[in-house]
Amino acid sequence: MGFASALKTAFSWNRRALYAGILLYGTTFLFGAAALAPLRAALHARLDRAPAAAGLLGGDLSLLSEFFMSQPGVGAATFGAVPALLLLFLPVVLFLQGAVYAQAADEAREGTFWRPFLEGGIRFFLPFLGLILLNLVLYLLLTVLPVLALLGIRRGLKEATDPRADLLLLLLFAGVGGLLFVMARNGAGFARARRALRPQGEPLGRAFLRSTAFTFRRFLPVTALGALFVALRWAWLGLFAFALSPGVETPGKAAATALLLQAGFFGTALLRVAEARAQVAYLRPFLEAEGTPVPEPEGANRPEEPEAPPGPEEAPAGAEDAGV
Amino acid sequence: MRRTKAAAGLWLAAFLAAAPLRAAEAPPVLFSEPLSNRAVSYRMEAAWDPAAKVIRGTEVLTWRNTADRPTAEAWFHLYPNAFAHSETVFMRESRGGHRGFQADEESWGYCRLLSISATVGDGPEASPEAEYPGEDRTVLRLALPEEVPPGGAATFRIAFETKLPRVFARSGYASEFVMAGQWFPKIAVFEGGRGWNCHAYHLNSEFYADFGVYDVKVTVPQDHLVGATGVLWKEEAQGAEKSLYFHAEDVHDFAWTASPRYKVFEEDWKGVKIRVLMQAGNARQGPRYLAAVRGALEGFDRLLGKYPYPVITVVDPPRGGLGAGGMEYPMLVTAMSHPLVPEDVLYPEMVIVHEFGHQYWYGMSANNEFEEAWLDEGINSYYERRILDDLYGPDRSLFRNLFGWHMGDGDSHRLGYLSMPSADPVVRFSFRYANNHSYSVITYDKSALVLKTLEHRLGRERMDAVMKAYFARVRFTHPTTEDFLRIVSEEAGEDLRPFLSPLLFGTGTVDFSVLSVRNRKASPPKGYDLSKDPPVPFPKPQGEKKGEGKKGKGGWASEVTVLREGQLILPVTVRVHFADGTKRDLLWDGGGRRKTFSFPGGPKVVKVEVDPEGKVPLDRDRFNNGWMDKADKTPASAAAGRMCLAVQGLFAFLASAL
Repeated sequence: MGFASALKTAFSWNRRALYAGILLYGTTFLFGAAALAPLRAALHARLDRAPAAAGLLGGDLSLLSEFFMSQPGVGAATFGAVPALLLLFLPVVLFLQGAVYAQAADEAREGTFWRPFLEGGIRFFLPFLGLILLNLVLYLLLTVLPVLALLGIRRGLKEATDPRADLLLLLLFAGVGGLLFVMARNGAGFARARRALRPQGEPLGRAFLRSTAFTFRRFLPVTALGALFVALRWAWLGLFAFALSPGVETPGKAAATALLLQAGFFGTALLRVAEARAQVAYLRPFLEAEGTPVPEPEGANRPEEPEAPPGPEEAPAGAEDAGV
Repeated sequence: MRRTKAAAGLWLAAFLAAAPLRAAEAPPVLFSEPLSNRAVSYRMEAAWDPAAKVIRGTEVLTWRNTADRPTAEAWFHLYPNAFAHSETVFMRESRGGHRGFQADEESWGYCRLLSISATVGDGPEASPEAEYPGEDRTVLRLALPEEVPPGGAATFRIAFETKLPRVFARSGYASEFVMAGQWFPKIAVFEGGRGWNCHAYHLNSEFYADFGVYDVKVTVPQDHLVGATGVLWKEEAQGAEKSLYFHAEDVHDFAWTASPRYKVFEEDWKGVKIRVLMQAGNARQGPRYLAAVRGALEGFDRLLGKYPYPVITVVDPPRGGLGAGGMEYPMLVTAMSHPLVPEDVLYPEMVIVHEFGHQYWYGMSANNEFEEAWLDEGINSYYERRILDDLYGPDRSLFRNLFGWHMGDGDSHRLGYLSMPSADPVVRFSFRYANNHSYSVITYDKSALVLKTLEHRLGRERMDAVMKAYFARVRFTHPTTEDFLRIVSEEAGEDLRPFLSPLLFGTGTVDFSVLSVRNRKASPPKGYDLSKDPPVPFPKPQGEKKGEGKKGKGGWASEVTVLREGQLILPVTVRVHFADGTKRDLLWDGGGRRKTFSFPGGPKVVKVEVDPEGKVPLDRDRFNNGWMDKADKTPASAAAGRMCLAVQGLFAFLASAL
């Protein structure tokens, strides 16, 4: 399965993928709302009866700045809670992504959404944590050389008086940083895809090494795939958060802007699910070529299962796993 | 070391062999009548050695004693010595940093005197005894061979060598770019009874000098473009170098810049030549610069009077040389920008308007910046705001659109003031402020807000007339705060000292707030009427039934109490809105801690605004200035919604990055 087929699979939405996207979005929404709660409460307590606050509707930055200056505790409360919430968010999102990759690897599995989703999340939590840490170490090491090179270039440009030298530096930093970011994400993504496709097949370290070798061997399509999804997410969010935003000058416009922003975040969550599915779909034929048994994709010919005797509507526990 | 001495010797020989400027070639006359007292006359030659980063210079200075008593001394500023080593006053105070730019520890600067002689009147030329009386060598005292009487003159012949540092604080070099500010031995100001006013070069201070005439020959490599104070009246090539002759009248400093990478943008505005020296790599911003200078010329011309000089040069410092940016010299200012600064961020325009404004406040109204910097920085910041607001709109004259947010230049003054409002008074020696931040926000921001407060007090038209008259009376002099208070009071026709003194000399602040609003149903008295003996119950109104009062018949008795916290007493308007849509503006003189306004038997009070038009910009908190009966959740929701993008976006990013 090639690049185009992987993309086709990614955007062939089914109920499970949609639910996974909703869960991912819902989680970011809840954590975002929790982080924002102290600020929201302080804003309402201070501004709801303050006539001067009306200027905020028009985007008066000085008023917002004055608000934070007059309420130094609010900024600390809001942004002080963010690190703790981020720490809490990491295992949650790791769990969700375990479930997303498991689901993408086993699209053909029948049954309800919840049970395999939760099972995948639990089963892959620790392996995925290990893979991400291995990937982190690898890319920290890989980053050292480009960073040293960039710092050397910056030092070399110390005497440059043309302000465009800063543009060059910015482009270099953005380009190299962006490439490393995409590569690191791909490294983590394809390692998880491999693990999800071969849950019992190989030790974690070997799986990581093989997956990393794969991403380097197939550098161009793999990087293009990752870059495409990064670009799509930014474009989607930019479209809904800025381009379509009607502003906040009136209550109606503010509500529309808030809804559009959430639509933007929802889209990015769906794209994350789609990306996991694309990675799995892209990797699957290569694993099959290795002779590795992998779960079959959705729609593939499945061996006929023995006819079940007529019984109660609900299948007994564990029956969903039979034949997979 | 020997080579340096030999070079210096050759240079001296050349200096002695030729007069700095040949008398036969006279520079142009800019003003038929002197605009200032012209206490000094400098004839200088400056040869830039781009390899050594050294200016080799000669100076013939004629100084006239304009004070009312004699002096047997002459004090000089040797500003480049501030960059000589890590223990100078400037370097100790700044820790090697200035406006976010760091000194290069491999690159120092100094001003070395190679020879100096003095002649008093028609007396003999003598080598005066020199000493450095201050904490560092930025101040030089010369003992003159004889006293210079009032009206008398002394002539100094100086050969010097100024090594420039890599620029981080106004003056220096960056690769091939050079900004020579405060580069030559500069005589201080003799103030008669107060003696010589000659402070060391501090972090938080700028400069002070007498007006006069400057004739300067600048020699640079052929490929360098030069900008300088004054008008260029002659240019001659000498092999790989060229010399440019500049002449300036009625100015109190001379600065120049050179670089082979300048791209020139020129325009004429009512006889004033606007000359913008852009970095070639930043040339796209040239039209922005020109437009800002034009706007500044128009604005200051309208508000204060004509810019009298024929040229204004604006310098765009290069990458690595931005420490030279945002500085004023007579007829030449440095700006600050970058190709990455978007059109909607008007920071370059702000810097240009501000620095151009210094042609008036510093250039012509030449106060002592060491001692009363607010007289130029503060007043100029007020005009900067006025002109930027006129050009770009008051609420977006700094940021037109920054991800949907905007901000006016005046707002930035207010935010600066709020960040440190009371550590120092406005009138204070610059180097005695608590720290650099306090100096900055009090001298620039609070001072500008004080003048805005005065504008609200007088009304804009009257304020403009008063300030225009003040400027006309102090231009080409050295005004003091006392002069300011006296003249604006005279021009306003009232003594403004009681109003201005607490704002300028005190550290008090003010915070108006609505303490309470009480709406009570106005109803006939109930209970016993004690005016009768024996007391009798008040009569019940005819036809009153239970609950009728709640429907509002008979009106409301309302009380609004406004509080003033802080030491500043300023008048303020209290606007009260009623349920029937009417409103009343009530004036409170600010006396006392609080004031209660009563409204018996009228409609219910639904909204109160203290200072509804923002006429007290020194108010420390605008959000407690009002009260509304009915909460409006929209502004808070809108602000939270905007913050949501950043906060929820962080989690969404993490979810997608993993």
